Amino acid sequence: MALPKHLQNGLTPDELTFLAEEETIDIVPLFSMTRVRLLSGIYGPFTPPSSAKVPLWLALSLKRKRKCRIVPPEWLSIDRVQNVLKEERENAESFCSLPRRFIEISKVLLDVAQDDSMQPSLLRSLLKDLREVRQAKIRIGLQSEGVMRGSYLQVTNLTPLELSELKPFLVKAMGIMQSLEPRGDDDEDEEEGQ
Amino acid sequence: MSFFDDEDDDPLSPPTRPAPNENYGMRASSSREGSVSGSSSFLDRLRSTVSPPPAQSHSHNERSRASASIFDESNTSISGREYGGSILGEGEEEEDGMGLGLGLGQGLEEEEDEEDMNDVKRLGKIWVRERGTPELGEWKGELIDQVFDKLEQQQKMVNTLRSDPQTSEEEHFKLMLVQTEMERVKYLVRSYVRTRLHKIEKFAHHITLSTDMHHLLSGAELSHARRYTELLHTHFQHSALDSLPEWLRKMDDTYGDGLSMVSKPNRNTPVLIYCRKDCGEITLEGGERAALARGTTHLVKYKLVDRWINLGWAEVL
Repeated sequence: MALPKHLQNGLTPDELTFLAEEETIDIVPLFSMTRVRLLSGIYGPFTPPSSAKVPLWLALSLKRKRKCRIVPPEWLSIDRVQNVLKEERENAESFCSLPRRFIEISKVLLDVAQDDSMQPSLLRSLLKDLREVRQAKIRIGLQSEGVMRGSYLQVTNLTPLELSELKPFLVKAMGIMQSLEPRGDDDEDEEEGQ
Repeated sequence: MSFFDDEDDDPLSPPTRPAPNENYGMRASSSREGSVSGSSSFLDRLRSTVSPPPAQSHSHNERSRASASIFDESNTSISGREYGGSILGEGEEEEDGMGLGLGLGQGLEEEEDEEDMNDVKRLGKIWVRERGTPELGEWKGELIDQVFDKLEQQQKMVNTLRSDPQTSEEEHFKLMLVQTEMERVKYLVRSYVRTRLHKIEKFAHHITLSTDMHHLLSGAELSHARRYTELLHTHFQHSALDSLPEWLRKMDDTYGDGLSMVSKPNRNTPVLIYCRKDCGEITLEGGERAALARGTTHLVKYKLVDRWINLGWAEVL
């Protein structure tokens, strides 16, 4: 009805990418244009050798028209990603803290602007490794005892995208566990509706 | 001066707002005295709104410089200088020493002050929140109105400049950008309203019954909730309930086990929250306690954290 069923479980990766596109990024324009005023702020001026800060969607749109070069964020350099990956592998207990829209931004940048990053294929495989290491950790974490029994989980440093993958499953599992528990007094009037 | 600038003191003040209409009229009847100068100055003004002169955007510039500095300056200088350091501490790294500096810019960026965000970002936030929580949140009418006003102005400007033959190529390109953004914003508003509509229809009866919830809804939403409930109930009555014995006809009965016919939001639904501030400790069912320290993320029952969410200390993901 008002909200299609596939959207009811929370944000989808597409929607998260949409949000990520509001983040700002540096570009080097390949055309000149004076400032432009948009709802979210004023961007520009665009004068070729110097860089400008624009929202990601604008950068991508310009990039698709071959009107700019996107400067990848610092955290997306090979060195940084390699370091994180190393750290992520060494530390089995917790997750590295990543920029909130790490996965979404790195994905769209590699999709649209891969010629702007230094070694796209290396970067891509590093990002894939990183994602897999984290996913493996998540799976191990979920297997540990008691996780499914309670109705609380500390998920610090997981990015919203990773959480959105987990959430439908966790919410459902927790709901089932709750309905199996003997009902507490205070919950009685709040049980249904879902 | 300009009516698109979100930095201006009063972008929507009466003197500027009626201007487009007035001049529109003048352009249409170009024989009228003064119309030429009127319309051209109006167009100039419109142009200046798409391409603001540098001076106007001073404060925004400051801000973009501030955000630029997020990634390349040291932590303390930002919190001290640009943001007054109210929410932003220096301790982003303290949570775990392994952020590798990667989380550094991240943490700061996330803890941007509510006031520092532009309307689009704020809209995104309330949308995410509405999507993430089981209960209906407060209707952010002020922000929506503001966004609508701006959208309307942008639309007027686009229409006018588009049909004007003097509009240069560069301006056409800018108009395209303006329109792209408008579509993005409209999408956000739509999705926000739809999410609310979904909840309102789902809990329509509950909402009409509990007057203490009414302040959370906009006028239109409330009347929709009422009409929807009424329609549904009349429909049920006509199609089935009227043929049942009197004692089975109620729509708001409670069963013996406490289950009510009026469906309410399930406040036990887990929500994902990111703590923007230290939210103290919560007690879980089993008597265990969990600390909601700043910068941590949790999946936790909505009813345990709703007050932090409402205060804005915890952000729904």
